[in-house]
Amino acid sequence: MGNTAGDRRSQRRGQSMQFADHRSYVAGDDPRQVDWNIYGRSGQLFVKQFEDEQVLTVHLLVDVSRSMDWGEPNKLDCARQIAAALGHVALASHDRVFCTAIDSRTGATCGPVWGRESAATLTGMLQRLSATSASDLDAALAAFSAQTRLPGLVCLMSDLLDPGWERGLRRLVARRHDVVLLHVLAPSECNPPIGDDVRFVDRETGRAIEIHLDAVAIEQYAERFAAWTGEIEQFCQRHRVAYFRVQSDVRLESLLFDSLRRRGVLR
Amino acid sequence: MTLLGITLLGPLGLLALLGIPILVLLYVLKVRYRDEEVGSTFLWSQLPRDISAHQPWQKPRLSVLLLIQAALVVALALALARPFAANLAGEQQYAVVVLDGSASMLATDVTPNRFAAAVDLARAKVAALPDGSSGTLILAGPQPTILAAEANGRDLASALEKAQPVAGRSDLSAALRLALALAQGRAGGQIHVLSDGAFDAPAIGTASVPVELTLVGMTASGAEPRGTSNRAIVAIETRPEPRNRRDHQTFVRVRNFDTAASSVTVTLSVDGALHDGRTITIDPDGSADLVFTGIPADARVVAARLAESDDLRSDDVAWTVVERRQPTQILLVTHGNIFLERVLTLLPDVEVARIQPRRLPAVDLGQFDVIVMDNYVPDVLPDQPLLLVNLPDSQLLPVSETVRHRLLLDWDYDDPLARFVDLTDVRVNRAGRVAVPGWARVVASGSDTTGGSSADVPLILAGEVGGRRIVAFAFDLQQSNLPLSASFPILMANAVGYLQPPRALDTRVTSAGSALTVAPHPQADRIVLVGEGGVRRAITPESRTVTLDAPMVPGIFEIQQYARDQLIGVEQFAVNLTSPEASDIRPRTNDLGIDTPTSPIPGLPAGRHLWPWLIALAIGGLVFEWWWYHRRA
Repeated sequence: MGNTAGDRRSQRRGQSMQFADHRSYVAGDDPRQVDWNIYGRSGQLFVKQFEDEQVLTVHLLVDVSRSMDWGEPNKLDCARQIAAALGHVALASHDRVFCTAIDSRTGATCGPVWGRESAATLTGMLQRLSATSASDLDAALAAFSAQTRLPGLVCLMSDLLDPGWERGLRRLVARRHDVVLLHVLAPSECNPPIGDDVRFVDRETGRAIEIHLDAVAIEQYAERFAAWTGEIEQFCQRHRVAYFRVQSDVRLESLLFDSLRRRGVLR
Repeated sequence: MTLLGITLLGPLGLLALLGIPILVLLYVLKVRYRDEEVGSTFLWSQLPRDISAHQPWQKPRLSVLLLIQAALVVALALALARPFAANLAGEQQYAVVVLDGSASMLATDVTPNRFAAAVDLARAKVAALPDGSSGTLILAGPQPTILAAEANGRDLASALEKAQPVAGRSDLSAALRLALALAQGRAGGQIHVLSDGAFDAPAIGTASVPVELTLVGMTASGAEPRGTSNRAIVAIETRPEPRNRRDHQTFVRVRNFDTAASSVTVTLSVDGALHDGRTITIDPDGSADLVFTGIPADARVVAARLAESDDLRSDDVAWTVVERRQPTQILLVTHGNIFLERVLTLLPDVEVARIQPRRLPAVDLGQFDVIVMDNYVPDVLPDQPLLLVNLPDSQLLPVSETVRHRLLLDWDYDDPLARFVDLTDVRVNRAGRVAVPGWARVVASGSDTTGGSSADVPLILAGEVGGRRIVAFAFDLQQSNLPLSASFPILMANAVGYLQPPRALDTRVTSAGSALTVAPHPQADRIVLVGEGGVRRAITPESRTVTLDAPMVPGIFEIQQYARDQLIGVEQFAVNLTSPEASDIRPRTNDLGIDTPTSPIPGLPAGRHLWPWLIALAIGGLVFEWWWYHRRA
């Protein structure tokens, strides 16, 4: 998935020595790739396929909208830590790393950077990120797609609390990126506590909603939340987007070495 | 205040309608909310609107909940105003229905009987009362019984369904006086008497409310539709045969209430087995006495029956219960007193045992009913009733001195001990002066014939102390001429009768509804009245005697006594309708003989209170509101 051969395995088939699969022979295939052992046993021609090992371009997209700068623990801090960790892994694998802040557009950018020695650059950039404006995922990801010429691995860290999340993700998928969506939410967004009469003020828009936070309201919220997350998961499933719901109090090592590794995002 | 034909009896209740603006205000009023910043209201804004709060002072949304709650306030306000829907049926009335419950009402000359017909008539009268009327139902029995008081038409009809006649005479006069007391001065008050006319006209001159007599089974002129036919057993008694006390004889009196001579077959059963039967002819309005002999001494229940049917079945059978009394066991403790020994021996149904005082501790006193002590009182008194003669000084009855003058006796004529006793000629030469304790009464006292002392000397005392009865003679019989008096055996019989333990039942044959006195066994903790249909009543004895009302129907009944659920005694008794007055089912009057006004005092307009319906509507609204709220959730 890169334009330079490297040691990151791609989902595409290529010229490496790492056997991946068989397929039926068609005219024009290289006869050297025919598996003669199978032909000897079955009389049918099959071609061996090998993984394409390339230098991978990893895009780390961190949502820095004001809705991310909220929660206990803070969602933006969590996204920064995840981005830093993924960036370190990519740099250690000799991948090419871009890191971009997005809110209603693309913001601060870092990259491309290579090698372990660039980790400080990446970390410094992430530390300087701050939430400043409202979220518009569609516009931000449209801008990102326009700037990015080659497809790569896109790791998007966002709370998706924006009606434009679906259109934005479609743009990434359409550009043939391998997309990993890390859906970062605060614990109180997943399971809000029962309370009294509350006026919720939106950090991004300043809009206020008055709610009597009783069991009925909590139950209705839980139903809406489940429907919303289910909708996102279904979208990701349909478009082969690797989806991970991450609560901001997650243990980072558990996320990296358990969830992401099990799904093949990390090896 | 009248609105659309509905009168509001409490118009101030409409002030509760002010609750509606208050309710709206509650919907409008600003509610204080706690500000809380969230990352985004993206999800919260997508929830249903009704859990989100209102903006301050915004125009209230027309929600179903608001409408329901407003309707509840309206319903409650109207209920508080006590709406009353008057109709054109007239005025409210207060009717006192007096239902004759005498035995003659069981006569079957009217199908199925007079009482059932009277109940039907009463039901029709109750149904004819205008809406909103009330009434009281009185059953005229031996005592008037109120079956329903200040009840509406439905409750009166329900009470009529449960009404039962009594097997005896009814005191219609007492029932009418009660009815008048209830109806007098009441708006719309009126009295309806339903009877067969088999009563004596009550001596009530005038009444302030209309009193209407409706005769059951009579024609408009008060004549019987057909002649009644009744023959009745009006008396029955079983007693020992005078010549052979081991057997008993039963006396039966049969009376013919017909206007023609009747042939009657009387059968006598002993403990369910036919013993004898006789056929006699009785003149019109005459009676015949029959004596059946040879009743075994161990017989329990003797029943006399008339074989021929007539219009009143209740008086065609009568029972007696033969009482088997054990002789009273008397222990005489004396150094020797020939007068006492002889007079006690002469008393009927008494067995006397005599011992010396020194042997008293060795005797089992539990087998004796009465203990007589002559010139002796032990340190520890036995539990049995005591007859103390020539009592020495003791803690029980201190004797202060010995009066040695001749004393004339004066006595309390009304005391049970002095019944049929004449002590005019009795003289006492010497007596102890007893300080009368609080528990004792003086039956007879002596006055000094010589004039030497002005104070009377108590000579015969009686009373009850420590749960036992005591009779005390404060003089030596041999120092008086009392033993030679004809009154001496009577006085002693009275004294022993007073000291004897009371019988478990005061009578073995009684009439319906009469008082029945039961003397509970000392250990009894429950007394149960049992009839053919099972247990009729159960009471806990709390005194030496318990008074019950005898059942209202003829038959054989049992009084069962229990101690810790163990049956310790059974006594049978019979309830008979052996009353000539009750058996005379011929109408004796068709007029109450009371001067009454023709119309009652005007009552309130008849109609229906609507507040119960409004309350029901409000409750229904509350349930709907609950359902609506949770359905949305």
